[in-house]
Amino acid sequence: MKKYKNQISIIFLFILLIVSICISLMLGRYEITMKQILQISLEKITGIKRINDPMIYKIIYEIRLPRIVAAVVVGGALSISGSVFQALFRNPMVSSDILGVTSGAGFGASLGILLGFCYWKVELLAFVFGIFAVMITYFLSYIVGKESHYILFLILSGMVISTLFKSFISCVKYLADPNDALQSITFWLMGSLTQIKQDELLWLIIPILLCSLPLLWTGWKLNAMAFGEEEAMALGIQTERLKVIIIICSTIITSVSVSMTGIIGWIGLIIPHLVRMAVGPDNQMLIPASMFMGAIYLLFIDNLSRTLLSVEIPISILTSIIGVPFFIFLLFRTRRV
Amino acid sequence: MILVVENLACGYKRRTVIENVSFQLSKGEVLCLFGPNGVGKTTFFKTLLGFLKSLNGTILINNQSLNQMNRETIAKNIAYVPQAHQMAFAFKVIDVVVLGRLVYMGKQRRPSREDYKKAREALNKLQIMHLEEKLYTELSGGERQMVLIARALTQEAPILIMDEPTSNLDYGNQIKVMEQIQRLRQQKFAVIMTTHSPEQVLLCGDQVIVFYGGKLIRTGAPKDIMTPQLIKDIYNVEVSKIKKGDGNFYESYIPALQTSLS
Repeated sequence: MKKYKNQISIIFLFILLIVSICISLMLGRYEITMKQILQISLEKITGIKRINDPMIYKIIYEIRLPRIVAAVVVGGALSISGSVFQALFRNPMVSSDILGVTSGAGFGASLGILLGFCYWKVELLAFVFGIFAVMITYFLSYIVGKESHYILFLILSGMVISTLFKSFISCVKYLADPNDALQSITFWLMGSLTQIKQDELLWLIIPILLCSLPLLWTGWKLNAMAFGEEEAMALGIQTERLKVIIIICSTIITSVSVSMTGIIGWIGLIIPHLVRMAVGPDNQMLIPASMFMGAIYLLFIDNLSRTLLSVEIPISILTSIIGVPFFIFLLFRTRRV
Repeated sequence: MILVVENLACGYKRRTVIENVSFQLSKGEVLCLFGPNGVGKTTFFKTLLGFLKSLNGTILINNQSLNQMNRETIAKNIAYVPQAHQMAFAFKVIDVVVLGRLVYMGKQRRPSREDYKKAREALNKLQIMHLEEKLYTELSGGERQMVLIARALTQEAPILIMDEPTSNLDYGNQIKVMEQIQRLRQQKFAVIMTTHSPEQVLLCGDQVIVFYGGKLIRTGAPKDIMTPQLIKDIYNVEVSKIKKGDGNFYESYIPALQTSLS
């Protein structure tokens, strides 16, 4: 039983995710029962129509389901990205935005809103600037860094570029009309899943799925990287290639997530920690377990965001307010152990 | 000869650290790299491991040039034992040791039962089987060093490169690690180790390369090269060489202190 503990944890998280999705479909102002959800699910399989109320279909397929899928995909993606970066940089305090992708995307979106672009152009600009920020970070570290301290220079460059783009965001906010663009920028920067539409989901799912798969395959190699780049090389890993794959895939999934949902902080940092306490540091288990846990966590936060008050609460506010005390509790628990 | 090095020059793009190093190493031999800090011992073994490109000369492993080998082939021929270190994540000892099998995993994503079996064999060989389920971060320095040696053994490479394997270890653990190096020699591994201790060179080394005074290098048998005069030239301290024989004859050094003990 002990031998299969981690596999059981993954199966448990998967079942918990399915249950969370079902509960999330029920939550909201328009009451939908579990029976109705099961009937609609069966309808998909058998093709026999069982519910006559068209409003239920509209609410599930056009409002709740896209949002739930987005929460699952983005929560999972940010957690995967945080897990692999923590292993790659051998630093548990690293999160998915360490190389400046979030600040870059934030600037791109702010600029798009300032210029009055339509929604998809804002998303595109956010994505492009997210990638652009990481490229600058990478090349800056390549130019100024020493071979022996490559990772340190990469992290420092990421901090510098992130700070630079945060200053750019402040400039854009300073220039924005306080009654119009500034409000939109501020709301966007706090993250929300409100704007996700059914027809946009594929743009979110496909790149994240394609870039998550290689990361899910890097588990054991990342275990070796946790001992340092030279030791990983001596163990037969082509570290340069592995680093490039990880940075490209993580950057794309974070950039896609942030461009569509705004800045959702804290998940990429806290979820890998939480999962590591449960399944240990083996990345072969940690990465998929983080993916499920991140999906469940963001789904939970989004449910609170849309049901707690009569107005929607921005997600980043809740991820921090709930995440911080929970994290402190875990730290105390770990200390006692 | 398992390793042949001819006229090797190594260093960085704009700086040559070591030049004209030549030696040959057979299975069951221990080569010590001896010298003070900052003379290029680390640069030298990083070049042997393929982390740095050689600036000149040739390195042949089983008659094949190191420059023509990919990472995996190098890892199958040379295993690296770093200094015992701490790390951020608490891996189990067995999961650390099985990393030595990474190079044999191919496209499969995880170690097989056979890989775990080999990892346990290595732990058994080093008599640290009791550490299998312990966390690497909770081990003593000596235990961590043994685990890193076990990981290198799991790699099944005929050449082991050890970076100051006794540094940061207490006296007892230093002796245990030295005993282990002797066993590795008996098991026909070719061992290259860096050390600051002349006693260890005399105790373990079949050959020694002494780095000192910039690019000045001496190679040969320890008993011929490791003279008190050489120690004085390198460290500017007086030592006396002593010989002791109780069946097994061995040599060591004692420091000649300037201040009288009385």
